[in-house]
Amino acid sequence: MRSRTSILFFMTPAFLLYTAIVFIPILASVYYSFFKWDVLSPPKFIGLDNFIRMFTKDDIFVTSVKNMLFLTVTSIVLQQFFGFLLAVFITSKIKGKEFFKNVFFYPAVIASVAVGLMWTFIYDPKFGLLNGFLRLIGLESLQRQWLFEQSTAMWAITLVVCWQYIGYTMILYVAAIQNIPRDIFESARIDGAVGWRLIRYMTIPLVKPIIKVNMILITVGSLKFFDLVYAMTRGGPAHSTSVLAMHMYNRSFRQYEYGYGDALAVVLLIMCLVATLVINLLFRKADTEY
Amino acid sequence: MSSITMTNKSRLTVGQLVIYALLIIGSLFYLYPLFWLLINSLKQTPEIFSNPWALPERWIWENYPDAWTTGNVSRYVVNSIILTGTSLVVVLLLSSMAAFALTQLKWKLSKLTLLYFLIGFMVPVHATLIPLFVYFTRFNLVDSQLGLGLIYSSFGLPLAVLVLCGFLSAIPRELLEAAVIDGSSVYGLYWRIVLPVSKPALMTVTILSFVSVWNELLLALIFLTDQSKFTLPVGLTRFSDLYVTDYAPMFAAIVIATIPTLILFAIFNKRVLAGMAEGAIKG
Repeated sequence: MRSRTSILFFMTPAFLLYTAIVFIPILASVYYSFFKWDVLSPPKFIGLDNFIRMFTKDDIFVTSVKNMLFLTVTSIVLQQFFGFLLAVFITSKIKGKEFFKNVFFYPAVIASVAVGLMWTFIYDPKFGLLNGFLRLIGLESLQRQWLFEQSTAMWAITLVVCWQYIGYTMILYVAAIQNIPRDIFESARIDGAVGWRLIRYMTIPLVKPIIKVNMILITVGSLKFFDLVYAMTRGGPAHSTSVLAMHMYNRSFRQYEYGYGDALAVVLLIMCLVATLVINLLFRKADTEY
Repeated sequence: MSSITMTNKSRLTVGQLVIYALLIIGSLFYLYPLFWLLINSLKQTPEIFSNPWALPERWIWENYPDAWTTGNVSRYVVNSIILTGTSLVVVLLLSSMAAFALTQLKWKLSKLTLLYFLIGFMVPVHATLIPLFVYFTRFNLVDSQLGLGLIYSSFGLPLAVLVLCGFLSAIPRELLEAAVIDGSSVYGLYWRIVLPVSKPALMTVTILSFVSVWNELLLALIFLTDQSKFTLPVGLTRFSDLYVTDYAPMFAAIVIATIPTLILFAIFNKRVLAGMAEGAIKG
């Protein structure tokens, strides 16, 4: 049964495809990040010049990293807070749990492009819901050209990201809370733990593994972020909403600077790996406290 | 004391009322935009400007055929279906074969091989784009559904292999041994026993792959340059260039892009929620 041929037969296709399309290209990206390379001329080794250029001469790179960090921190705060809060509400003694779960979750399954275009309309200065709503409640002074102003555009996009993925954060917490054995809660209630104390000393410690999962998902998702920015602003106005993936896309496939694009991709890769590692370490340390 | 318990059972507590109120307000943030999208897709563009809040004066269904044919949405939908179908078949077949080998035909390096696949989790797709694009151009795989489908499948493999390995390692050994005693070959074992048994896990993989491939933008943007090959997400981003001032068909196009996914979500709802939660936690 465990003949060499059968193992090869079952393993080879997946192995080859994965190696050719995922593994080798990563190595190639790292390799070519040390080269000056565009479509016109052959690759030329330039050491760390691409990386030095990024931090010293590329203002859009700096803006992109700042936006990325802003997006990451804001998403973590908003999604973790509202996702957890909704999960606590939904798992409490109420009717219509399934309905509410689905209402908050549905944006996570539809295309970010569709979500982005829908919100572009909502933010539209002339006919959009947001300005219309502000007029309705008499706050015309707060009306803005949301996506067309540098001061508001990044906030506008970040709120859409949270709108789309709060439901995702929520269902993971719902699953985790429902996995907690009922009698643990009952005995805690008998001991007098209610409301906030119950959540603080029972629920949060017990769903800790999921706090970590959500933390990694939101962070890595924010670092890789591209779709909504492309759909809503393409990085504008004046690159004020550019993120690293957007910048990498423009440099590589609009300006065909392959070597520099690879260097940007490598920075993104390192950031994702470091973030995952740091979050894992943080939570390992926290685990031992209990 | 007893009277308090009575009210708890028979009527809503203040706490519950607050929770209901907050959940309903929250729901409005999620349902109203969708409703607004729908009503505006049934108006003419001038009416969207003059009266964005109201129901349409006259229901204009023409926006839909307009988006569908003139806006090329029909083309994009077909392309997306072909691409998603191709990717699903490849990822289901290859990952189930690999998971079968990894869990049932264990060999010396099977643990290491699984770890090798798991590297794929940590890696953003961006880190492969340029080399892939250069190779694909050389082998004439740009603008090819199969080419892009293979990329989607490869990036779907790590999660698919992991989900299936988790499921397959729980299959009782007796089941497989009995089949071997009955004279089944290892290939028959895979095809007639393992595949049918792992249906729930295959379903999870299908849902996860569908959601990611059907909605994917970045890769499709890079690897499809010919407009007749565009997928729905890429097509939608081009739609705004085509209908610069004529918003009504664009509202319709967004509805067309959104509704099928929502219907599928409504049908497979429980499985989608469970599957996506499982996928996220495994990842």
